[in-house]
Amino acid sequence: MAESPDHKILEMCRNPESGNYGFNLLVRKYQKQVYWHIRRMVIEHNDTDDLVQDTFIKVWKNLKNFRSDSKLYTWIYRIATNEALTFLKSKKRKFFIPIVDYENHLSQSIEDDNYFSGDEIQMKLQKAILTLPEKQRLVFNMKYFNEMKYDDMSEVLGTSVGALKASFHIAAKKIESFVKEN
Amino acid sequence: MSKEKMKYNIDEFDNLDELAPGLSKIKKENPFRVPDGYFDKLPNIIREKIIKPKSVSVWEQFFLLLKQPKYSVSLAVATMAIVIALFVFVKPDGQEDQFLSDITIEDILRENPELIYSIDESLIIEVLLAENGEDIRDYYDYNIKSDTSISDDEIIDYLSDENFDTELIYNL
Repeated sequence: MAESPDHKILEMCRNPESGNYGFNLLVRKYQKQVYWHIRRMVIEHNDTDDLVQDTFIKVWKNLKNFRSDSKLYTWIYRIATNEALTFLKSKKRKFFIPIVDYENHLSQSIEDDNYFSGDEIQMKLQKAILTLPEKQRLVFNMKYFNEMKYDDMSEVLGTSVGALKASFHIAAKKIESFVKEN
Repeated sequence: MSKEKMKYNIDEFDNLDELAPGLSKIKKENPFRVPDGYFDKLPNIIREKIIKPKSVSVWEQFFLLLKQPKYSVSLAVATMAIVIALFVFVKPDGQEDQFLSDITIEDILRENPELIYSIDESLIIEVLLAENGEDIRDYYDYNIKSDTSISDDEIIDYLSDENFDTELIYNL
């Protein structure tokens, strides 16, 4: 089935008679993108599952406030990104785990993850990504895996295109040297 | 470096082959998986959550309420008021007073050694002197007379050793 354009979905969501159907279409259209975006940040499936659900619940609650001057998908990405970053912050604060240690914990959880099927080099790549600061990790994932345009990334992260390019450059260099050294 | 040259370099950041040749050779694939049928079930799970929000117990509601700054500040103020009122208005009947006076700063620090880092040094000195029947005011003149001043050169040397911003040091 062909995906409905965003403006049609929004129209249906805002109409009380077709609201549920419209929102179902919205979730089906964006669930995978949101899921993988969050999963690459928080690594574990169960945490991702909770955050994806929370993201879409927030999307539903705030649809009436969504202004069509930004793209629907960048708006959803922004909510998902905030959910992931807030989650990571709360994890670090809750368990008094220093930043580096929590990333080590995530790195370890990749090895133990039943839902990780990558080979050794993929494992190394994921561990390398986890050595990056959160914002750099976001930028790298969005550019490298999601192949998102810098303009869209700029809208999601509220950072200039130049800064995003520089951030991706630094991230790629760091990952390159991590993969070489390990 | 000219602006044009700088722009050229930033645009080159997109080229992964040049930027990170090792990374560009790694096959770009998604190594993560999800449980079978996960994406088929997810829209319904979300739908159900929206229709039937998670029930919140009375205690959860109470703590959620306390999380709001206006209530948490009110609670903190009320608690402080109660504690102050207890100290000011409750007449000591001897036993409690005795109990409190039996506790020395050494006892407290023995139980909570980490407290030493959060207590103002002058407070510790004051309490220790008071335990020996002395008054900190007796020592005020001594502190003033003693040579505790630090020269600007010493401050700059310290900041340089600690790798502080040189501009900050030069502006001292």
